[in-house]
Order: sequence, then C-alpha cells, then structure tokens
Amino acid sequence: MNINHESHAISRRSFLKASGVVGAAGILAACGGSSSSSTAASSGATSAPNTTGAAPLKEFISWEATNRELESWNMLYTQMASDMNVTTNLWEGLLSFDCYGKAVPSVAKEWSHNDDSSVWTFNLRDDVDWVDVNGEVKAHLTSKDFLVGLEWVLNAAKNQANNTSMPNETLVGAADYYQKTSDMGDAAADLTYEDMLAAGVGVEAPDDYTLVFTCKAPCPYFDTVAAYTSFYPVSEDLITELGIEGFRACDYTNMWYNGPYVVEEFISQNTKSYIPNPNYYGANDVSRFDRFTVTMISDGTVTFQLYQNRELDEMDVGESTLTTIQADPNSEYNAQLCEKRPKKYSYQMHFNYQKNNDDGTPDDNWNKAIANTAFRQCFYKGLELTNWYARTNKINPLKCENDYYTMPGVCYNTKGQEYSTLVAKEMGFDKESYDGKTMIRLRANNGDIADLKKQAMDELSAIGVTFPVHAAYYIIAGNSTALDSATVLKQCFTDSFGDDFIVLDIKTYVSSLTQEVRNPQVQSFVINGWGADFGDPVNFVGQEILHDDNAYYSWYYSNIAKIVEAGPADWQKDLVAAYEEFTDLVNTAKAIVDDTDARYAAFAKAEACMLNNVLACPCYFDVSWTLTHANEYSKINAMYGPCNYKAVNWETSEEPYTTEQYEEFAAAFDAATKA
Amino acid sequence: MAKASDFEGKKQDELFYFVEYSPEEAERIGYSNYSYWGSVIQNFLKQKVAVFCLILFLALTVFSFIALAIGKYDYTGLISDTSKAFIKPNSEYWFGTDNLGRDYWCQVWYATQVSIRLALVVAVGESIVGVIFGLIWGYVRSLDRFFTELYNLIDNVPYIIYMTLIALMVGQSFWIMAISMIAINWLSMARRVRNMVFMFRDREYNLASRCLGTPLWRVLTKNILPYLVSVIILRMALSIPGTINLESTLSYLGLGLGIDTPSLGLILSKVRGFFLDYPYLLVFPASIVSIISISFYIMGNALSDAADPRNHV
Amino acid sequence: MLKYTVKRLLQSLVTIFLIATAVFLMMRCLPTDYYFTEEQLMKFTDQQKTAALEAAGLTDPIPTQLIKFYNDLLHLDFGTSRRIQNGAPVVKVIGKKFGVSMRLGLTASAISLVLGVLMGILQAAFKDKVFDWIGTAYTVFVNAVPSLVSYSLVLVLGSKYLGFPTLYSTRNVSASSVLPITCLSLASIAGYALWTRRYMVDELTRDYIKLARVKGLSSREIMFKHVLRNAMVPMVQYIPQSILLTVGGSLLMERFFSVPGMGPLLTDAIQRYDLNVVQTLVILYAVLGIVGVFLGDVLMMVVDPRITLTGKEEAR
Repeated sequence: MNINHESHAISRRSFLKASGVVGAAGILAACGGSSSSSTAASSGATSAPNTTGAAPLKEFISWEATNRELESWNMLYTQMASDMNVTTNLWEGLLSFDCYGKAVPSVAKEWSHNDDSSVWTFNLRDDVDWVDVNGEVKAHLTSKDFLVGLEWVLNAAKNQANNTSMPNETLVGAADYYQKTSDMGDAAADLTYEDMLAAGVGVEAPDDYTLVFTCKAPCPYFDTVAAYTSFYPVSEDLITELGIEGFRACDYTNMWYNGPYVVEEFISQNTKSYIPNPNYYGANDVSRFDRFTVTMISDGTVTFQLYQNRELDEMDVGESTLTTIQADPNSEYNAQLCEKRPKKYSYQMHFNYQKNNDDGTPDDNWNKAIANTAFRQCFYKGLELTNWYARTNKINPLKCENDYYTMPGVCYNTKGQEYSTLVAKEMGFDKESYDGKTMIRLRANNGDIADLKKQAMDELSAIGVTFPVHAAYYIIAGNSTALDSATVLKQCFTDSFGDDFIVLDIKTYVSSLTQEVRNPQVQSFVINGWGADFGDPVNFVGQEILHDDNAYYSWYYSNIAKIVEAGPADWQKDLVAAYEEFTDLVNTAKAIVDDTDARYAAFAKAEACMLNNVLACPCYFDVSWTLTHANEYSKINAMYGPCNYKAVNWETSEEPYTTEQYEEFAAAFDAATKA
Repeated sequence: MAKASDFEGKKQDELFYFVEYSPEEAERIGYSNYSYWGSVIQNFLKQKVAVFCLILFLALTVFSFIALAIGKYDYTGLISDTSKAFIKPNSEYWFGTDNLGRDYWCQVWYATQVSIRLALVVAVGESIVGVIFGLIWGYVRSLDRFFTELYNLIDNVPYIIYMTLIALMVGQSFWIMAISMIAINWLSMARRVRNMVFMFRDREYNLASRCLGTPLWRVLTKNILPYLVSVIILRMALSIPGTINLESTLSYLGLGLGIDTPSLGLILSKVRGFFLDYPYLLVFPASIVSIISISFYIMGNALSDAADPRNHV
Repeated sequence: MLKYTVKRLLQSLVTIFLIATAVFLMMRCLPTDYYFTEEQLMKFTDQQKTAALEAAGLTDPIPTQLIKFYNDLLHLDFGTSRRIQNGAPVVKVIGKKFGVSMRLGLTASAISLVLGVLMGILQAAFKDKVFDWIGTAYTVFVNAVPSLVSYSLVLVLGSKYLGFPTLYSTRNVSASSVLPITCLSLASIAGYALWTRRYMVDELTRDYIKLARVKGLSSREIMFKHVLRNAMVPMVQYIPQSILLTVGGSLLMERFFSVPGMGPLLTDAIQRYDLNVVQTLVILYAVLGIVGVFLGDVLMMVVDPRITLTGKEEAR
C-alpha cells in the first residue's frame, strides 16, 4: 500500500438503509470571513481571486500519475475518481462545493426540503446550455435531462449497474426499477425516462426548471447525495444521436459539455488540456484559466526537474526531493515549501481477524493474537509512527497523526463543533493538541506498553501462541517508494514492540490487492483510506458493525462478520463481545433522528468504544508538501462528491508561493472554518 | 635442434657422428599430444585481456562474499534511520547510506551475489536446454516444423505477457524468475544450434559416420557439437548482460524478483531518482554491473575464438 | 518468386493463427475477477458481477469464446477496448499511438542506421587504432549498462544541462523528441556499429581484397565498393525487422518521457485485463515480426543476387 498515492484510497458511495437524521448535517458554517479566496464567486468577477497581490497565471499546468489515466469520459458510467477528476471540469450536476467543502449552487440555483427531509425540491437555472467540443450550443438543459440521466444510471442494460448504489439506497422505487431492468435483459435498453416515472421511482419534474426527489426515509443530507454523479444530467438528444453503446463509450469529441471547460486536446498517457467553455452559464461568476493542462507523469522522480523547468506549475514534494532541497541551504526552494491540507481520506489499519496462511489454512497464531484485547491495544497505545509519518511529511511528521476513525470535517453539530472533537472528548484527548514532538495518543503513558505487552504475552502464551507473532503486510511489487515506506513501518514495529513480540513481514502483490490479498485473506492488516460519501458519522463507523450486509469493512477487511456468521472460536468470544457492544452503540446512535447533537454524541461514544477496543487502529492523514503556483486553500475541498479537481476560482501566482504565505492561508482558513 | 652453445669447445670431428639403425625408432609414428580442451585453454590463456577479465570477474565474485563478511553491517540486520540518510561514503559506511539511512555497502554486495547467481543460472540453464533441443531440432527433420512453429509462437508473443502471467499465477521468487527466463531464452540458443547442425548434418564425414552405424547421440555429441562450442560460448557470455538488463526492466515493472532478494537491477531502478544529487548511489552498482558485463563480453569473444578448432595449431 | 511468396504467406497465417490462439487461451487463464476494477469489486454484488461477465461473453465455455474470437478475426473485427479507453474500438486506440511510436521509431532507426554503420566502417578502417577502441568501448558500455540507467541519465542530463524539454509534447514535437530519440538510438547505434565492424573485418581478410589491393585500388574504393557491399549482406536481413520492431514502441523510454506511444500499452492492457487490446497488440507485433523477416529475406536477395529464396534450401 503506497501511502504516497491517493489511488488506493477508497470512497464508497453506499448507504445504510436505516439511516434517518433530522437537522442540518455536514455543512460548514457559511463561507466567508478572512480568506478572500471565496469572494470571486459572489462578486461576479471573472478575474482570479488574489490575496497576495501577485500576478495570477493565465495558463496552468498540473500533473497526474500515468497509472491514473482516464478510462471513461462518461460521468454517469465511470466509478473511478481519476475519471471524475477530469470530467468534473466538463460536466456539471445539481450542486458543486466551495473551498470549505460546503455545497453550493451549480445547475440547481436553490433547493429546499419538506419538514421531515424526505422530499427535496431543486430549482434549476434556466440559462444552462449543452455545447459540443467546439463550444457551439447543441441544446438547452432542462429538468428532463436529469430524469434521462437518472434513468440511464438505473437501467442495467444502459449503465451496466455502475453508480446505482446511491440512488438505490435513497430514492423510492429506484432499486425496484433497477431490478426490473436487470431482469429484462437487453430489452430494457428500449425503456425511457417515462417508463421510469411510471414505475414509481421517486423523482419528478413538475416543470422545466424544477426537480423533486422523494426519499425512502428522511434524509437530511440528501443534497450531498444529489451532488454525486449518479444524479448528473444528460441530454436525450445526445443518447439518441450516439446510440446506447455510443453514449456509454462517448469521448471528448462527441460528448456534450455544460461545465466550465471544453477539451482542447487529449492525448492518452501524455496530456489533457481544457479551454474555457464560451457558453458556460457561470462564465461571469467564476474565474477560469485560459488553458488548463494536465500532464501525465509516470515517474515521480522527474517532477522536480519539470517544476524547475516550469513544465509544471505545481508538484508534490516527496521525501527525496525534500532531502535534496534541504541539503542545500542556498536553495531558493527552501522558502517555497508549502504544506498542503490533509487529503479527504482517513487511513486506518484494518486488522484481519480471520487470516489464512498462503496455503489457505487458517493462521491461528495471528488470529489468536489479534483477538486479544491487550494485544490490539498495544497498536493504539504503543505504536510510535513518527518515522513512518515522515515518509509522507518529513517536516512536520506528526501533522499526519490520526487518532480517530471518522475523517475530521465530515460533519458539525449545531454548536459548530466538529464531530471528531466529540470523539476526542470521549477519549480524553480534548486537552491535548499538536506539539510537533509526540503523538497525542502516546502521551498518556509515554507510549510505554510494557505492562500491556506482558499481559498480552502471558494471556496468549497460555492459549498456545508462539512469539514473535508475524504480521503480514502487503505492498504492490516494483514500487520502491512503497517498499521504503513499508521498511520504515517495519522499523517502527521493531522499535515499538520489540522483535520478541510482533514482527512485520513485508510481502508483495502483483496487480490487485483485492484479488491476491483480501479475497484469500492472507493479510494481517491492510492500511486503507476511507473517504466520506455524505455528512454523517454512520458513513464511517457503520462500515465496521456486525449484522449489517452493508458494513463493508466487517465483511471484506476484518472478516469479523464471517466469524460471527460461522460461530466464533473460544478465544474470539471477547472480540465478538466488543464488536457487539460497539454495534449496539452505533445502532442506538442511528436511532436518534430528532436531535443532531445527541445523535453525534452517541456516535462519538460508539467510536470511542471502538477505539478503546482497537477494533481497527487509526493510522494517518495524508498531509504532504508542495511547491506550487496555486493556492491550495482556494481550491474546492469537499469531503465528498466528485468536484475537488474543478479548476475554477483558483488563486494562482506567477511567483511561487512561499512558506509564510501558505501559513497565512492556513491560519485564515482555520479561522474561517471555526467562525 | 642444436644450439650454437652445443658446439662450443667441440672439435671438428666431434660434430658429426653416425646414428645407429634402430627398428623401434623407425617404426615410431609421429604423435601429437593435441587435446581439444587443452588447446582451448592454451589459446585462451594467450589473450591477456581476457585472462585479466576472468580474474577480475572471479575476484569480484569472491570479493562479494568477503565484502559481506568484513562489512560493518549485516544485510539482514539493517535498520532504517532517516536521520542517517544520504551519508557520503566514509570510514563507517564504505559505500555511504541510502535514502533510509541504511548501509549501502552490504546492500550492493548482497545484490551483486544475487545478480551474478541469476545471470549464471540463466546462462547455463538456457545453454543446456537450448543445445539439447537445438540438436534434436536440427537433426530430426520431422520435428523441424513443430519446433519452428514453437519458436514463432514463443518469440512473437511479448515476454511481458509470460512474465505477468507467471508472476500472477505462480508467484515471485529467485527460482521462478530463473526458470521463466530460461523457458523464454532457450529457444534463441536452440535456433542458432539448429542452424549450425543444418550445416554439418549432411557433410561427407557424417554421412560416412552414419553408414558405419554410429549411434545418433554419438554423431551429435562427437561429430557435431565440437563445431558449435564457440557459438554456444559466445551466446552464453552475451546473455549475462542481457539477463541483468531484462531483470532490471522487469523489476521496474514489478515483475522482477521478490523484495527479499535485492538484485543490482532493483537497486539501480530505485536510485534513479537520487543519483544527480548523490552520484555515489549510482556509481557503485552501475560499475559492478558494467564490470560483470564487460568481462563476459571480452571473455566470451576470447573463449569463442579459442574454442574454434580452426584456430588451433 | 510469386509461388514462394504465397507459400510463405500461408505459413505466416498459420503462425499468426497459432499465436492468436495461444494468447487468447493464456489470457483466459487469469481468474475472471481481474476483469473488474478494485472499485467495482467493492461495489458489485456477485449477481452484478455475473451479469457483467455474461454481457462480456466471458462465462461462455472456452471453445465457444474461441470460435467467436476466430469469427471476429476473420471479419477483422478486433472489438472494443474496455479499460484503456472505455468502449473505443481497439483499432482506434492503437492507431493513435501507433503513429507516435512510428515517427519516433523511424527517425531513431534512420539516425542509428546512418551513424551506426558509419561508425562501424570507421572502426573497421582504423582497426586496432584509437577510434576502434573508442567505438568498441562505446558498444560494450551501452550493452553493459541497463537501459533503465542509461535512459535516466539521458533524461536528467539532457533536460538539466542541455535544456531540452523533458516530456513529449505535441505542441513542440521536434524539440521534445530529441531526448526520446537519443534514448532509442543509443543502443541501436551500438548494435549496427558492432555488426558492421565485425562483418567488415571478416571480409577484409578475404583473398579478393588482397587482390584488389595488389591491383592498386585505393583504400577508400576497397572499403566502400567491395568490403562494405559484401559485409552488408548478412546485415540487411535484420534491418527491416529491427526497424519494424522499433515501431512497436519502447516500454521504458515511453514511460519516462510520457510519450503517448505503443510501448506501455501492452503492460497497461494486461494489468487492466483489457483482453481485446492485448490480443490485437500481440497479433500486430506478430505480423510486424513476420513481415520484418520476410522483407529481410527479400532485401538480402536484392543486395546479393547470388542468393535465391526459391531454391530448395530456404535462406534463413
């Protein structure tokens, strides 16, 4: 698992059936305050936002790794974040997000819901047009296009089951309609949106610019759901023109655009460049680049060279580049190193409670050890990861420390308190703050786990566990960065646990973690990032509970659900009991639908229970450094939705940003979010 | 032969004398103590550069063991400590340290052993398999069509496909790598051998040999094989840099050796990103690779000349 | 000649058929779960997976799939790509990349042919002199250093000290092609030089050369009219093949310089289980290889009229 790439992080857009929340969830306080980077949107200016007085760039060159090359241009069809990062610039849906992660108008200019948040009404703009690749208007966008889009997604013959989980879980009748088209086979290709409406799917268009969704259950965060690609519009004329096969496989030459940019040039594995869409409805509201180019780079080692040649306007500074820069005190780049915001993923160490050996027999040595509470607590309370964090963030390693399960920023209660601060309170960490010296969760006992270790070894030796316990950790073969990180992690294990206790074995897979590691259950743990789908803690902790078919991690990573189903062994009784307790707490929290504060407090309690039992061990946030001509804090930064790579309203500078400027941005941003 | 010194101080009449007739001497047949391999070695030893290369290579191999023994750090006990990253070579770290602050000396020499072992195993393996099948391919006419198609099949399907499938379905380890490389490379050796066998198969001396009832394997091993030795040796020597190169490419693609067997190719592909700032990281392993490859190139040429019977006196 | 060509063509078709079948079967050895992306594996139920596999015809028995594959091949239908570029016809996907690789490959071939042969001639002419040693050292060194390293050196040195663009760009094709072409040429110059020298040196000891010298021909005349002409005979056989194969793209070079060519396509396609692309590529490479060998034979015949292909012994 390469912690320096986002590609392995996972954002699952799935819903828990029973969730029902009342009250405003998951939305930040209003965008405003000291950072002026948000002003452009409201002022109607077309010039780029500017806080430093620097000359903004007219053209911008960014980059992407070659293994994240676009595979499909079809926003409705693709499930890959790497594709959405491209198409979000070309194709817009109901809502977008701002730099604080708050949902903002896009094609929908305003939206509202009924009293119990089960019926949502979106009023659309009347000035949105579809254009072709040359920017010529092809059609006018109306509410019908959203119906056509939804029908496409739900129709198994058309979208081949992609992106169905979001609407299926929330909208009335959606799952039934999907099942119907699935049963019909190829014949379903003839169905239209009228058939979908007739089948009773919870969506309707009273007029050309109004769209009404009906949810299965109260869903106060439905606006964040509707921002997802499953609900994107498409023109019926385009589908007619291209045919079903043709539209599914549409590319930039024949698709229709309603986003800020159109594609100027696309060369697979080399470049993409976008130029402004001349008929973009928001042309007067947002600033855009005259040209935005994304260069594909296969090898991180050349990015510094490219940045120095200005073949790139931003780059991620890896460990080796950082060492190089810092080794030369005269290097101008020393003053230009900028720390980014955390990526939107909360990385956890997901233990495997039912590990197999390579030959398929159960590895009971590990299984017994990991079922022991004291053994697991050693990970949370004793694993000192500073050196490992330094692989991601060499300057401030501890900025990467993650002590909780839910990603901070996913939701706020009515007092404006961020959810993870509630968990911190439950854990007794609320008085502690980042000091750059020690990990917060290790402060209590100075990270000394001698007692826990002794307890674990005594208890486990009694049931026949031999020490050291070997933990198998899989990385992708041939990636030296991943291997280096794993080597450092192994060293952290040695330093924290001692080689007589737990030893990390680094192993490799060739192509697919799912195929080669998780399905045969040969891993001891997987370190994985989870990105939010919507603004409620249930999206996070709900993945770990028992007795729920949608609890993803329980089924596919920890395999605890399988253990419970098959009946736990004697030595797993405590573990299962802890899981049951945690599950009960989550279910209690889920049942609170009339009081957001109480609901979040209950979730915080559940999460604390999970963390105290170390059912999964929080690992890190991806906070890295950059050399850049763009202000990260002006970019869209939503915890969910496909919009983060939309290149609008970016603040840029001809001169590279300096460390000081970035610190100011960060302070202004923090002040604005706390306001 | 008489030397001038033999005649010094001898009188005129002592210079000439009669030789007595001896029937045994008269019957003696001129005997040359020619031995094929003896001549090969003799000819090879005449080529000073090649001998130097041989010694250099042997010394390198031996030294890779000594180096690990005398090194201050043990490969298996390396500790990563980023505060010691990128230390230039000094008396503590003879080759400096890598990006994780681990001693580079023991890594390089350990990898050297792995690479040499892999290259030799592959070279010997492909030669043995290639020669055996090449002889059969060339000699047994009815199998020609079969082998030709097999050759086309294996040669025209990019090796990446085989390597990916093997890595996915069998796994990655030293021996899997070695065997799969042999499995792909033997054909080109076999092809060369086959072409040579074609040339010699129907020469008169073989015809005569067959008429006298010499068994097939004897015709192959005694009549034909010696002509092929030079070709085989050259091909073998040149396959060694080829193996190292291919291995580094495969490592770059993640299809190489497992992570617990570091090869020079693996090290080289890893240090690519640092070498401009820390040239020593590239210089040491690249020099060793070059020494191995160049030695074999020169040795191969010399040995191949020496092995050619036409060059024997 | 015509009869021979037809026979040769038929044989090649059999070979290509065998190769296509082998690749088809090999790719079917992989578990079908590789068909899905990690995200699909995560989100799809088993039922959805089966449906997707059925839609792609992957659940049919292998013989059925094979017959369909042959049928499509007969109609020159190579199918559509699934992951490389969703839904695009494979021919279109490859076509775009083919042009780029071809341009670079042909340029590099031309350069290395001229430089390599020239170097070989000079080495032979000044055998055992300084230039010969330098040339041999270059040849040996290029072969000894793994291309991974030499390409990195070219990339970094070329962009840092000579100021060439690092990445291939369609806006500035000529400047950004310099480094990729340098990389491609490095090894092939060495190859051509090596063999030119070798064959010329062999030729120089022949009796007819001695005669030519005795007759008083100038060194230059001997070199170009006699030695080179004869030394080229064994070489020309390999030239078409090596040119055609450079068209196939270089995996490492194209990765390094982000060249949108054919080189990385095959590995990408295998890793993404894009079967149609893999099959088409392998068939394409096989055709290139076979055509290359055939052209080589023809070229050899042209250069040396004594050689005939229609004789009872095939020229190899």
